[in-house]
Formats: sequence, structure tokens, C-alpha cells
Amino acid sequence: MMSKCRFEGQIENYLLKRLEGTQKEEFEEHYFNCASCFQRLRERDLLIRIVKSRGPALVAEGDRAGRPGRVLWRPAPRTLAAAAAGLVLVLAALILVPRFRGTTPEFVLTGDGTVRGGTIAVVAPAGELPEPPASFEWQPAGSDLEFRVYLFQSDVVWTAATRSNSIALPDEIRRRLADGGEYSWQVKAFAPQGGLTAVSDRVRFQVKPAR
Amino acid sequence: MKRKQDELDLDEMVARYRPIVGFRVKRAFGPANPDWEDIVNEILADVIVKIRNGEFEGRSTIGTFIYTIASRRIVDYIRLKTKHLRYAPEPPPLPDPQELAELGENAERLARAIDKLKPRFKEVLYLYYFQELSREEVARRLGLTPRRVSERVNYDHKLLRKLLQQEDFFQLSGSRPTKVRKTENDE
Ligand SMILES: [Zn+2]
Repeated sequence: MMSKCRFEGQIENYLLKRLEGTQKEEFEEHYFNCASCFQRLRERDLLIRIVKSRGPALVAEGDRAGRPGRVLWRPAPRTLAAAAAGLVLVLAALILVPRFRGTTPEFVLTGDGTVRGGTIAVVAPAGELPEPPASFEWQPAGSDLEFRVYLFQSDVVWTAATRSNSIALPDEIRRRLADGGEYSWQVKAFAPQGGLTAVSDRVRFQVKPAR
Repeated sequence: MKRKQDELDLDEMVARYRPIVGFRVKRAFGPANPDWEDIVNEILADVIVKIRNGEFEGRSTIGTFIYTIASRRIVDYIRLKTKHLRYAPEPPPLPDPQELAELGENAERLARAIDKLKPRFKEVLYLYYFQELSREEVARRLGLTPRRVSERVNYDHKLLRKLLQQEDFFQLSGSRPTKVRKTENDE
């Protein structure tokens, strides 16, 4: 019988990249030494990967199964205040959440002598949008950098470079984005010699015209 | 417990640590990087050489010894790779059907089992793992108590464990199937 290991609570945090530095290293060293945690780690990893690969389809299923008009979440808040708080959170989540943390190149490993790449914070677009975005925008990330933007669907759909911290989308691409499909985008910064210096998360978005 | 090199069965050690080293390397490289398998082999070969040279003195566990070698190799690889990253092929974006296919039939079975869950269990999985909200955030979003959210997540985990043990996913040994309590899903 396996007893509960004190690291067990870290499994999810590790898989969801919520551990950093020493905490992350400690947990990694631990699962090299703890068969129970490693087993759970693999199981949980599989579950998370399946959920990630299913995406919003996982919860949209109910709609197709003959419950037209069902909203994705029908919060049942007990009070009006809770409803308001919930709404704020939903909005915050829509703005902040739909990112693929998992796809950010992982040269941000900490530790002795590890290369630490920077991250670029994206501004927009993210989440569900009423209309195709006119541009991609991110936080300025230093001077004398070239930014390369990638738009993905099942593959790279479009890519372009700029020295500014935003880039306009060609009309042709905007028309394509109106198809309602799920897209994601990412920006990378390169130093003058061509070395990669920083990368953003890959951010998801989807155009869903308001009805 | 003191262990010496000659007490270690190297084949057994490699068989035991290959999945662990593989997990660690894939985690560091990202799932789309095909180099992981070569690096895992290099790490294990290096471990064997070091053990044969008497570098494993039993001051740490063998797990920590291998972890240290693996971590160093990963750092070296990454340092080399970042110099060429600009020209490296783009990793495919998630969700990646190919990746799921690689997880094999068992993963498909598990995916189907997840699909069959009642919506409230799926919602929790979606918010918790896809959107990566905290338990508290999921609770607020669904108008539940955090405790209730934990119950649903735990239910999902138990179901998963039960399935995995039935299917013998990872050649689990000596663990008995966990009973999935039929509570909330039957309300
Ligand atoms: Zn443990």
C-alpha cells in the first residue's frame, strides 16, 4: 500500500509549470527517487495531455448531444456579489488564460550555468474575439531586437518580422481568421547577430462573432 | 543503505530509470523535439560509464546520481541548441493530434472515458487543466466551494487510476485497483 508522499501535492504544480527554481529541481530530483510519485506523475501527465488535446471540445460536447443553447458554464452563484465576482474572473480568465505554457521553448531552465531565455509578454489578441484582430501586439522587450511573429493553426499559417512591438495582419490573413477556427500565435525576439533572446507564450484565440 | 557499483545490476538500473530519464528529457525539450531519445541513450550510457569508473560512491541515492547527470546533459544540450534555434523547425502547436496518437491506444481509451464523464466533471477538468485555473478560481467560476471542486478533481483522478490499472498502462506492479466512489456522478 502506498502511503501519501509529501511531494504528491507538487505533481500538478510541476506539470502545469507552476514550480520554479529550487522547488522545481527538488521535485525533479524527488521523482528520480520516488516510484510512487513518478507513477502518479505519468498518469496525471497523460490526463492533462488528453484534456489539452481535446481543448474546448471537451465541454462543448453536451451542446451537440441535443442541448441547444446551453451555455458553456452556467454559474450558480448564491448571491449577486458572487455573480459579479464571477463575471470579473471570467473576463480575467478570457484575457489571461488561454495560453499554451507548455509550448514555450524550455531554455528557461534555472540552475548552475543554465541559459536563461527571456520571455515576452503578449498584449493581444487572446481568447475569444468578436472580429479578426487587425494586429498582434506585445510588450516592448529591449532595444535593437528583431521580432518574428508566428501564426499557427495546424501548422505555421503566417510569419513576419518587425522591429516594432506590434505588427499589422494582412487582409488575406484577417479573412482567414474569420473562419472561426482556433488559432494561436507567438513572438520571438532575436538579437542583431541572430541569436534567439526571448520568446512569448503561444497564445490562443478564436474569432466568434457576437450573435 | 550503502551500495557499491558491483552490487548494482546495470541492466535492471537502465530498465528502471529509462522512463524516468525519458520523462525528464521530454519535459525539458518539449514534446515535438525528436532528439530526446538520443539524449536519453547518451545519459544512460554516461551513467553506466561513470558507475563502472567507480564515480558512484553511494553518497547520494542512485536516483539523485542519475538525476544530476541527466540535468547536466539537458543543460548542455539546451545551451548548444539555443545558438541554432532560429533555424530549427517550428514545433507543432497544441492541441496536437499527432502527439495524442503517439500516446497510443490506451490514451484513446482514456480519452473516450473522459468524454463519457458527466458535464460537471468535464468542466472541472477543462477549467483546471486546459485553462489552468486554480481550484479557487474554478470554484468561483462554477459557483461551487473549493472543496466541491477538489472532490470532482479527485473523482476524475480516481477514475483515471482505475482505468490505468485495468489497462496496465505502465506495467504497474503490486498496486490494487482503486475503487471509484460513485457519489457525485450519480446524483
Ligand atoms: Zn514521492
